[in-house]
Amino acid sequence: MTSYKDIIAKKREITAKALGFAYEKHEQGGLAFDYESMMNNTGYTLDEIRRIQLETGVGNTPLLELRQITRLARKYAPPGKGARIFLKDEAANPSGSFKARRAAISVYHAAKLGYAGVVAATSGNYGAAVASQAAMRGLRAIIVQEVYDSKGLGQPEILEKGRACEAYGAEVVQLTVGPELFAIFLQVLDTTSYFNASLYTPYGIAGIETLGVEIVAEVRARTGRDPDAVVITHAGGGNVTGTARGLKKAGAEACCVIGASVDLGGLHMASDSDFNRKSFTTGHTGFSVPFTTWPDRADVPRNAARSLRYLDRFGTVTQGEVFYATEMLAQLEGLERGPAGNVSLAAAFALAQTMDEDQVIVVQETEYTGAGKHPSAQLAFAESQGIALSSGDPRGSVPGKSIIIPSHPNLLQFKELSMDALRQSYLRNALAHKGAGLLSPREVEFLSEDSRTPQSLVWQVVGK
Amino acid sequence: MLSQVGSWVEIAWVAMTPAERAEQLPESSKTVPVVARVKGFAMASVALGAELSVKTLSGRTLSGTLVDLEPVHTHSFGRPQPLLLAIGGFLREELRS
Repeated sequence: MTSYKDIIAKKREITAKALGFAYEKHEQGGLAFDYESMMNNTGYTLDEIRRIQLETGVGNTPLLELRQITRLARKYAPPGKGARIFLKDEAANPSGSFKARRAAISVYHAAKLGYAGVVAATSGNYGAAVASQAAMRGLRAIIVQEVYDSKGLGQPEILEKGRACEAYGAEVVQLTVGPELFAIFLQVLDTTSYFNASLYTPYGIAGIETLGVEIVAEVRARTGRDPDAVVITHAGGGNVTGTARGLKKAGAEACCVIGASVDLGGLHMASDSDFNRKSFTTGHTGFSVPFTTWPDRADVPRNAARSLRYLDRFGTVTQGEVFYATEMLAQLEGLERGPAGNVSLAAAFALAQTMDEDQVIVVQETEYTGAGKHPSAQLAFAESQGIALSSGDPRGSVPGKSIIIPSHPNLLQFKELSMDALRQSYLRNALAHKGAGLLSPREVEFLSEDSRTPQSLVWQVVGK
Repeated sequence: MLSQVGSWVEIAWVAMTPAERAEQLPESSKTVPVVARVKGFAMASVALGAELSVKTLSGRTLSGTLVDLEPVHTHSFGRPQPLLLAIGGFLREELRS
């Protein structure tokens, strides 16, 4: 055995060997690096990425108009309000989620470079996506997952995702709770010499750009206009970054990019006792807030997912509201889908009511559902963990203690978070990572770009 | 209960002791080890709790303590939830009125 500290100290060395990506080429001293040159260094154009994805049946998923849900939203909206709500049915991808887009490029690239296998650290759909793509390209796959608390009790949704990985032929290393996941992942990379199919490489992000591009093309064809808003379930930042880059590449510059996360405030993600007190294993604030305010906590030297560069708005919904939206989608639109996209759907239902009737809001993903992922599975599990379930106003719920299913659809709300507060938090984190010494002019310029903050404000925060 | 050679089993091992874990962990995580589990095909016939090597789905050979024989997927759709069952009818009624 080796300690966490010893393994993390070898992070750059291990990831360099396991990616064949020259991060150092883009470094500009200290905190600064050239993000766009890094993103343009994947060696694949958007058209090539589309072709690679088509080879394995990824992408070109249906865009569905949610007519019934739009009608319902208009019922509670002021006169003239209630945007048309569309949904990108990403569950139609081979492994049942948009993550197939990310995995497609990493696995293709690994095969091209001659790696015998791929490794990914994820408790989520990404594992199944990597396993599925690896199966198609004839590579071996190992998925490292955080699954259990110290008593060996597994979160039902993660157990399902682990089962799916094995169904596609991957070896699944299942761990108890803790940030050591990344270290053990690095150890697996080191001992196998497989490819690092991290969620956070430029390949992992470039693969999502096609999703944004497809949304713009389909919305234009169906409505004759650009999407006015796209709501994106926000966790590690890849979904926001890749989709928003795609929207921009397709020319939808004015489209409002909105991140939505499940509010898990107060629960510590590395806590053994909090682990099984949550009903959502991704798309929640436990990932989105730390990753938004410091992206470089990932398993690569420089995280390609940098959501502050792209988010126009960011807000939360409660666990109860997402369960409600899941039922609403099944019962009114005939679509039984998993939790991730329904985070955005709950937000979009509230946001649509503030937008004009002729405007378009897009929920940019769905995922498959099944045992463990289903709301009844999650609520039954929550109850077994002592979480109080009730019906009423979801704003009264406390993550880890209670879940309140809205007693009426007009109680669904999008709770806006302050982008300025997130930017300041990012800048404080940057400063803490800088340690001693003065910031170079390029570092200040980089922090300004990376947080979309005017340089004068960067100086103000840094000055403090 | 003994594992049959070639049967599908689960092994576990301590991947990091509390002393080897990351710093700044919440209290409830500091005192417990990081445990890893993996499933694979048993390479020997041993009793539950004994050391065993397995061949995993990726073809690796890993060793640990035998913790389960033919492990079952226990996650399910859960008990029906009355709070959810009421939603569909209510929403359809809302659209009719």
